[in-house]
Amino acid sequence: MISVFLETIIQAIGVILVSPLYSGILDKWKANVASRKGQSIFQPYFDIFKLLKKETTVSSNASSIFIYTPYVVFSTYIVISLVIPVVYPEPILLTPTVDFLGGALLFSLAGFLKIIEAMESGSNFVALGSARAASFSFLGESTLITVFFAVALITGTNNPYIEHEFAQIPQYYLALDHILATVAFFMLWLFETGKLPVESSGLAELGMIDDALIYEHSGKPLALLKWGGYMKQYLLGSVLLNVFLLPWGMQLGVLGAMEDIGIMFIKWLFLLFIALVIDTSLAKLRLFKVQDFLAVAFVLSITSLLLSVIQNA
Amino acid sequence: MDIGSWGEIYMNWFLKGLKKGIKTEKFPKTNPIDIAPWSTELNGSGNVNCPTKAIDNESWNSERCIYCRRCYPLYSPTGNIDIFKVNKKNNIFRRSFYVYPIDIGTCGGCNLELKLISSPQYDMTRFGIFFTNTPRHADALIIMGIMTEGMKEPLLNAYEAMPEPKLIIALGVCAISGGILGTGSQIKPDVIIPGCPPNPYTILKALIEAKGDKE
Amino acid sequence: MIYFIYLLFILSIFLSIFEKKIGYALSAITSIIFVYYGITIGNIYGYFFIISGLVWLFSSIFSIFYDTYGRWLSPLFITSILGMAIALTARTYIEFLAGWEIMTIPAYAIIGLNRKLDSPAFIFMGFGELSTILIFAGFIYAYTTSNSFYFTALDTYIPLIVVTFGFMIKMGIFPFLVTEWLPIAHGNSPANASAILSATMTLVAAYGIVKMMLLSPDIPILGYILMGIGGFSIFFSALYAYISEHVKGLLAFSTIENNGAILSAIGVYMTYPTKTIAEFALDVIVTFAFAHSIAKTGLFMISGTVEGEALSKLKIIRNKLGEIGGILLASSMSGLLPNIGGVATWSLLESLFMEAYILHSTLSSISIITGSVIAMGEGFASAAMIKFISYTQVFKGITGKSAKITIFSIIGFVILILGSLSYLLFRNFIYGVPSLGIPNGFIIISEYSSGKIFGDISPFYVLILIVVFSLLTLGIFGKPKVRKTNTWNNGIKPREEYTAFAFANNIRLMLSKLLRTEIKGDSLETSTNIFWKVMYYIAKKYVSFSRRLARSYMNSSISWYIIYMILAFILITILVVIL
Repeated sequence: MISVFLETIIQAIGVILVSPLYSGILDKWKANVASRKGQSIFQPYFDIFKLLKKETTVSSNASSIFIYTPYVVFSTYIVISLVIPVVYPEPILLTPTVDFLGGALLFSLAGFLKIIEAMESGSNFVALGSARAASFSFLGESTLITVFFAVALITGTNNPYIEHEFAQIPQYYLALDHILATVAFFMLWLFETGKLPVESSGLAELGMIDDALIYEHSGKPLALLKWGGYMKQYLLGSVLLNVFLLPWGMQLGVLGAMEDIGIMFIKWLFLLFIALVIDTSLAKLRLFKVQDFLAVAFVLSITSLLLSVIQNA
Repeated sequence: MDIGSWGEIYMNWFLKGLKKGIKTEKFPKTNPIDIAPWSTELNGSGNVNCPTKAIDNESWNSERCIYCRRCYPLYSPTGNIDIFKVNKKNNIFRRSFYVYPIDIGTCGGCNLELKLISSPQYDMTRFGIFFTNTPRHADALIIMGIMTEGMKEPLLNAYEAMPEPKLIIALGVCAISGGILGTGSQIKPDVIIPGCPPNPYTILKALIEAKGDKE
Repeated sequence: MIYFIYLLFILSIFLSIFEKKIGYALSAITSIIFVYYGITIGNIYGYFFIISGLVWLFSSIFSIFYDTYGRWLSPLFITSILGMAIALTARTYIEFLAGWEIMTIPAYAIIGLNRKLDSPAFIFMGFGELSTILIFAGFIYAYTTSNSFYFTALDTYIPLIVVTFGFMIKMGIFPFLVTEWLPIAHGNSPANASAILSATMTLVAAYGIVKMMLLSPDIPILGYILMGIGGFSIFFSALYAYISEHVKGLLAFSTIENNGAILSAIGVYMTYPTKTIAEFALDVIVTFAFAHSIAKTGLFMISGTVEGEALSKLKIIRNKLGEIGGILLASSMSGLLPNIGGVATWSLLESLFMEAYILHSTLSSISIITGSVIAMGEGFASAAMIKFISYTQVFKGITGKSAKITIFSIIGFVILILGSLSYLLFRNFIYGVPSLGIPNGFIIISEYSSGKIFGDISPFYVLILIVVFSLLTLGIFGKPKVRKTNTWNNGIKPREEYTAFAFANNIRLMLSKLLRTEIKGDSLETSTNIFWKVMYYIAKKYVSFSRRLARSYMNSSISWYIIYMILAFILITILVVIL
C-alpha cells in the first residue's frame, strides 16, 4: 500500500516538475541549429518563476472566471497525469478514474475551458485564435479518440497499461495497423503542442492558433497556463512513446519509479530530436492546409482501425 | 548556378545549420569583436555648432547627440560603448526578461539595431532576454522614436497593460530627448540608451544590467 | 394515479387561461408528481418519465418569469405537456396516438401564433402528420398480427420498421433533414415552448422506438441502418449547428445531433452482438436522453434571456452565476466530463467500438465508421457550444441580474450532480478497485461479455479530483494580484468586433464544397440545403422521365391503342386459363 502511494507521488511530481525541461531542451537545440548559442535548458522554469511574482492585469470585460479558470485547467492536467502510463508502467492510485477514451475527453475538457475563459477577455485577437482552435478541434479530437481506439481494438481493452504491455510484443509492434496508428498519433502530437509545420510560436499575432489563448493573461494565471501547456506536451508525448513508439525498458517498484523518470528522459531525447529535425526543415503551413494535415492523420487512424478488425476476419 | 552549389541549395536548413556551427561571440565576457566607431562615446575639444546642442561648453552630452558628424574632426569617437544609464533595475528579471518594443515615430534605424541583438552573433537569448508581441507578457517597454500625435494613446495603453513590476527603456536619442525632429517620449524612462542608432553592444550591455545581472 | 395527474394538468390548463402564473405553478407541481410516478414505476420506461417530468418542472418555473406573450401561450403550452404525458403513459395504441396528436397540435398553434408567420407552422404540421401516418400504419399492422389494442410482444418486425421511420421523422433525422424543418419550427417559437419541443417531444419519439423495439423480435439489419443514419446525421447537424447564425436554430440542430446519437445507440441494441453489450446500449440510450433533455432545456432558457435572434447582434446581460451555469451546460452538451454528457458520449463510443471488436468482421467497419463520424460530430458540437456560450454569455455585455438566469444556472448544477449520479443508470456495470483507492460502486465499466472489461470511467472521482487539485493549486500558488485595465487591442481603438459570424468562417471556407459556400460581393453565403438540391434534382429527373415515358406509350395514335387492347385481351385469356 505504501509503495503504491509512493509510486503515485513520484509519477505526479515527476510529470509536474520535469515537463518544462523538455521544452527547454528543444528550444536550446533549435537555437543551436540556428547558429546561436541559445538560452539555457532551464529557461521555462525561470520564466514560470518570474511570472509567479508579477501582478495580473485583466481587461475590464473579464470577471473572476478569467482569473481562476487556469487553476482548474492545471488541475485537469494533474488528473490526467495519474491515469496514463507516463512514468510508471503499472496502475497506481486513482488510475481507474478514467480509461484511455476518458483521458481523451479530459484533454478536450481542458481545451474547452481554455477557449471559453480566453473569450472572457473580450479581445479581438483572442477571438481570432479561439475561432481557429475551435475550427480545427473537430479533426484533432476525433483523431485522438480514434487513435486510442486503434490500440484498444487490438488488445481488446481500453486500459492503457495493458496496451503498454501489449505493444512490447515484436510481431504486434511491426504490424501495419500499429505503424499507421503511430504515424497518425505523431502528426496529432505536432498539432496539439503547437509545433511546426502547424503553428510557429513566433511574434506574428495574425498567425497564432494556440498562442492566442494565452495572449491576454499575465502573472500567475499565465504561469499556470504555460505550465499546463508543457504538461500537455509531456503527457501526449509520453503516451506516444510508451504505447506506440518505444514501449520497452520501464522498471517496477519504488526505486524503479525513480529510475523511470530517467528512462523517460532518454526516450524523450529521441522524440525531441525527431521534432527538432522537422521543426528546422519545414515552414509553417497555410492555415487552411492545416485541415489537410489533420485530415491525413484522421484517415490514417481510421485505416488502422479498419485493418485491425478486418485483418483477422 | 553551377552543379556544385546545386547540392547546397537542396540541403535543408537543419543540415545547413549543423554545418555552420555556432557563431555566437563571447561578449560580454570577452571584448567585442568589432565596434562600429560612430554611436560610441565622443571626445574632443573646440567650439562647434551642434544642431541638437549636444556639445555644450566642451562637454559632450550623450543624450542629445545624433551623430551627424558636424563636429568631426574636432570631436571623434573613442570606441567606448558604455554610454548608457540604468536608473532602476529589478532582480527578478535576472533569468527571464521579456521586452515589448514599441515604435512611436522612428526612422527605422533603432528598430534595425534592436532586431540585430537577436541575431546569432550577439544572441540576446542566452541571457534570457526575449521579444514578445503583447505588453501583458512583457517586463520592459522599449520606446523608440519621437512622440507623434497618433501614438500617444497606444503608448499609454501599452504602459497601462503591462503588469508590475516593469521597466521603461528609452532606446535611441529620439526617445530620450527628441533628436532633431521632436520631443521625447512622455513616460519617464528608467533606462536610457543613447545613440543614433545605438550600438548593438551598448543595447545588449544595457539590457543585461537592467535585468539585474552584474557582468 | 395517472388519471390524477391528467386531471391536474387539465386543471392547470383552465387556470392558466385566467392567470398565467398560477397555471404554470400548478403544472410545475404536477410535473413533480409525474417524476415521483416515474420513480415508482421502476423499469426502463420510468426513466423517460423522470426525464420528462424534470424538463416540464424547469420549463414551467422558467415560464413564470419569461412569459410576456398573450393569453394563448400558457394553455397551449400545458396542453402540449398533457399530450406528451398521455403518450408516455399510454397502454394501448389508441391512447398513444391520441397523446401524440394532443402534443402536436398545440405546438403547431404556438409556432403559428408566435410571429404570425405561416410557413414554419405549416412545415411543422406537415412533417408531424407524415410521422403520424407512418406510426398509424405501423400500429394497424401490429393490431392485425397481435389482435389486441394493447402494447404486447409481437412476432413480426414489420411494425417496428414502419414505426421507426415515423418516429425518426419527428426526431428530425436525415433524410428528412432536407428542409431543416426542425430548426425552422423550433427556431420560431418562444423559448419555453422550444425547450419542451426539443427536449421532450423528441424524447417521446425515442421512447416510442424503444418501446416497440423491446416488444419486437430482433432484426440486426435495421440496427446497422440506424447506426449509419445516426452517425451521418450527427456529423451534418453538428456541422450546421456550428455555422448557424440563429440563436435557437443552433440549439435545434444540436437537438437533431443528440437524437442521432440516441438513434445510434438504439441501432447498437438492435444488432444485439452480445447480451452484455445490448444491456449496456439500453443504459446508453437512457443516459443520453437524460443528458440531452435537461441540458437542452437549460440552453433554451439561455436563449430566452438574451435579446435578439442573430448571434452576431445580441444584447446580453452578463452575470457570473449565469456564466458558470452556461459553461456547465455547454460542457455537458459537448460531451465532456464530469458532466453527464461526458458519460453519455463515453458510453456511446465504447459500445460502438466494443461491437466492432466482438464482430471482428467486415460488418464491424460500419461500427467503426459510425464511431469515427460521431467523434468528428462531437468536435463540431463542442465548437458550436463554445460559439453559443461565448456570444450569449461571455464575450461582451452589460452586467445585470435576473431570475431567469438563476434558473438555468440551477439546471447547470443539476447536470453536474447528475454526472456523479450516473452510476444509478448503469446498474449492472458497477465496479471498484479498492486497492488503487477507488472503493466498490464508484466505477462504471463497459463489458462485452461477463468478466471481460473494455474500459471504465468514474465521473464522481473526476469531479472530486478536479476540485481537490484546483484547491490545492490555489493553496500552493496563491491568489494573484489583480488590476483592471482596458483590453489590449494592439493599440487600435476597438471599433470592430470579432463577431459570431466570423467565428465560424474557417469552417465555411475549409469545407466549402460540402456547404456550397459562395462569396458574393462582400459576404459569404452558405447553403445547408445540399440534400434538398439533390432531392430536387432527382425529383425533376423523375418527373421528366415519367413525362417522356407517358408520352411514348400514350401517344394518341389509334393503331397503338388497338394493339394495347389486343394485348390486354390475350393476357386476360391466358391468366384465366392458368388459374
